[in-house]
Amino acid sequence: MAVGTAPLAVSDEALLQQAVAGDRDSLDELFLRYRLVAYRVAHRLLGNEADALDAVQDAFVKALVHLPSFQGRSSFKTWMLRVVSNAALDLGRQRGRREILSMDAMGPTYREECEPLIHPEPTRELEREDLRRKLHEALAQLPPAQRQTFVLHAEAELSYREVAETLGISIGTVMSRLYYARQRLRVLLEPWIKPHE
Amino acid sequence: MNNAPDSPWTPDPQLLAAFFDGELEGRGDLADLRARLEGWLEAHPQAADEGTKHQQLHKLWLETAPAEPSAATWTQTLDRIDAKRQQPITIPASKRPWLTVGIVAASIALFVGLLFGALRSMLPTAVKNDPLVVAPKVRPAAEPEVFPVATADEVTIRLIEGADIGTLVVGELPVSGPLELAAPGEVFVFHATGADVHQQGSRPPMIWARLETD
Repeated sequence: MAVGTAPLAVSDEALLQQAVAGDRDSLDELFLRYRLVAYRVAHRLLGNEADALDAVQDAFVKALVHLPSFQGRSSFKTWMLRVVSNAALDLGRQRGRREILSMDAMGPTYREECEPLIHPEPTRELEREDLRRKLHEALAQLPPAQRQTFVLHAEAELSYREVAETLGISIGTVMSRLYYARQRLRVLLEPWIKPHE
Repeated sequence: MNNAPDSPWTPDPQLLAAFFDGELEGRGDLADLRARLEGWLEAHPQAADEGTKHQQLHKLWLETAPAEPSAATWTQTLDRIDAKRQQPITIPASKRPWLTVGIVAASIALFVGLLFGALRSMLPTAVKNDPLVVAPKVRPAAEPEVFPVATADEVTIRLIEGADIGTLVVGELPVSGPLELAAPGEVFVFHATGADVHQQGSRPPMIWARLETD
């Protein structure tokens, strides 16, 4: 009778090497590890699922094709987040004139595809979606560098040091960008920021 | 009275935000700074409002987390990634600076060529088509020769024979019209006054101007 052993955790770097060599299982594992955080960062920067998925796809393809640019000086996670956030900003610029798509505009197909992490009441979900749209509109008013910094910190939960490493900037710059981003967001979102209940 | 908590020190707002973000937690090297900030916040309760606003924005952020795509959507995305990475890389023109430089250089060369052609076509026909001096056919000049030119007063025409009836020695400067060198034996100097006649061997150089006949 075979005794199951816990699989050894393969490093991101090893998975990446194997994925580049054509190993689909390694690609699956790498994708599974980072798809959600990459998607959420991209979604915050772009405001809709379709564009966010495009950015995630671009980022993973770049990671596989341009492996030499990942020289191991940073973790794969921070490297991937830099690539995906840059891809999202590029995509956002390319589609700058496109209207921000609301859930209603995307129609029932989009709604069916979305599987909320929590299944709230319909009214609550509408309220949440409205908030999401307001937040995205407020984020869109920030300068791209501030927006990228804030999203990496708030959504990917990177520390100041990790954000600095990801973007290749100083911690002081991270502090400054986060501070001014928050100040601006507070003003723009004041009607929707609820006091503690 | 000397231990009053109202110290002149006021934390930088960005440092305060870092404190609210938990950036000073678990940092032994920043323990003193953290303690100082905590002391300052106790002494300035109104500053706690800043922390509250910080948390409210964070709460709003969490409440609006994007919904995760379906499993099927993830699979489709992964399949597209797998397919795309196997495609040959095509570099867009904007990422190929050498191509851009080449195109610009070719455009400039084409423009200069067209400009040169246009200017050339604007020149007078006589200047454009006819050489000012026809070089001797049998004697490639190693270096340009300077020819002495006789004026009308210095030359007396004594005889013009046969086929040379259509030619005439230049009378006045500047010389105009198509020119050609006389062949050996075509020119004979009978008498020269007030001018040096240069004659080397049996081939004296002489410029002739073709007579305008119509």
